[in-house]
Amino acid sequence: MRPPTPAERLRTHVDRILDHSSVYGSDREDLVEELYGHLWQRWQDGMANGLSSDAAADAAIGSFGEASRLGRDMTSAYHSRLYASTIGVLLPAVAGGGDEPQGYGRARSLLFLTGLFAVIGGAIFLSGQTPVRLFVGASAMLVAFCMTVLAYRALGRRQSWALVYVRVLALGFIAEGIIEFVVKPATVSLMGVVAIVVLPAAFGPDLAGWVSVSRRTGKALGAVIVASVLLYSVPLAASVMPDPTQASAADLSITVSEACTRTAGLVMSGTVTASIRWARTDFMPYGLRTGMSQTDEFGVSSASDTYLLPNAPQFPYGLDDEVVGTTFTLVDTETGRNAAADVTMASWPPFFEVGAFNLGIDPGTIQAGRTYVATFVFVSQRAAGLPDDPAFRIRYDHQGRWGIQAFATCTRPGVASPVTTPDPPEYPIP
Amino acid sequence: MNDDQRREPEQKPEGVPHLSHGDYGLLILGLLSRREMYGYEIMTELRDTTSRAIDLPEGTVYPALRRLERDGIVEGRWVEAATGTPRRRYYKLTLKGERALADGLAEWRRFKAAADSVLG
Repeated sequence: MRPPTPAERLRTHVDRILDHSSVYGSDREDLVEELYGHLWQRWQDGMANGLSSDAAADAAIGSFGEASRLGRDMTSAYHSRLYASTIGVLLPAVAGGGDEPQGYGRARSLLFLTGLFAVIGGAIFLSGQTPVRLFVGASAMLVAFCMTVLAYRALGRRQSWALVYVRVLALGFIAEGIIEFVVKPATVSLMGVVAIVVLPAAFGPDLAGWVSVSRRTGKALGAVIVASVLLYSVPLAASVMPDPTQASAADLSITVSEACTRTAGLVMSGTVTASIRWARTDFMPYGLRTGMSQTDEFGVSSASDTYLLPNAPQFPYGLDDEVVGTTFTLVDTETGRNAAADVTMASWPPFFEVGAFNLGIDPGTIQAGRTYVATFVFVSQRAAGLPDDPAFRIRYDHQGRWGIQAFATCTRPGVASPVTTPDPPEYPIP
Repeated sequence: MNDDQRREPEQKPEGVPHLSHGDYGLLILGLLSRREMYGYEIMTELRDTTSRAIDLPEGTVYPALRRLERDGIVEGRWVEAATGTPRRRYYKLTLKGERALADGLAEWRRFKAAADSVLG
């Protein structure tokens, strides 16, 4: 292999300077030309003054200044002080130089997939969160994502901190995969599997040697790396933390009872009474519009019935024409106001449209701290009476985040208690 | 490269005065107020004018020039050179640069007068 010519050595020195900077693109190309032009002229002048070609090149390089110092100065000339002291430190533009070692591709794949899934998974997960949790989770995800992107680029620039990041990330995914497997044995974490594949390379000698050209990662930066990886778990943690801006099941109380009349032990008619009280009505972000529902466990009396809760258990004596009911309305117990026109929870018959169709409860007509009573009268369409006691369910589902429901039968009133959401496929009647 | 990248010896040639970014920039502006110059020319002029009293590493002029250019104090343009010779980037003062030079000179003279009154 021939030794580099003086002109090539000058060019190499320029590259070394800019490799220590964070200057990219056309700015870098301009600087290469300008700095090389300077060195070239100094080289020419040296030879004109009697130096040999090699000696003149040495003199030109020697008088130009230290590559690392100049590179750093160049970064601060192009970027803000904040950038120069943060990203500029993490991401000097050291060329990859080809000859990537074994495991390099796997390590970068881990970083790529992490970033990709962070964007996709984060967007899906966070879209269902409350504004406060969305803000907290998205902020953490953004920082974590940026760190992953930086690490992806820095690994290509042979920065040792990027390899440390890969190791911490891989160990984190494996730990998460183990926890997930323990909690739900049927599930396997995809990123956990990827991390297991990457781990030997991440801790192997090839990648360690590849990044040994850069500074060793100090404790402070190591702590930052660990913290940045942990940031990926913030959205999940935030989703189970209390959010004072949100209503909870504790803010709504419902009691329900049935008063039944019987003939020969069979129910002929009855009145369902539900007392509903909201402690607050600032249910962010969706208000109260959706959610009040009741089962069709009376059967239905109209062929035009269009509402059926999924998987609602059927009464053993058949479906239709067992009972008829009256309008189910809310009444403000303090004012006596019957809010049937605007606050109708259900208008049936002919349409069994309960709150699930946004006809439920207008938040503008509900006041916090007052009790609203809803009544519903039903009459058996069987002359002999209903063979089983009808059960009644009333339920509020808060955007799939939380819900409460209460059951009542003729002999047993019910108090609402928290339930999982969305509506479970089978719900027990107590 | 490896050693150079790992350690950053903060050495300064003996006898070279310490110049802050502002002082260095002022010297460059002073030279550019005479005529349009390129980086190599600025360093050569600086060294010759000061009889080598100010003889900084030559590469340091470029971050300084780029900083001044970023701040709109100087503007650069590429000029083709003779065949086989790299192009040169010439710099000249902008209007803002002329004002900055005037302000800098006034400040420098105030400082010099104050220093002279103490040092005699």
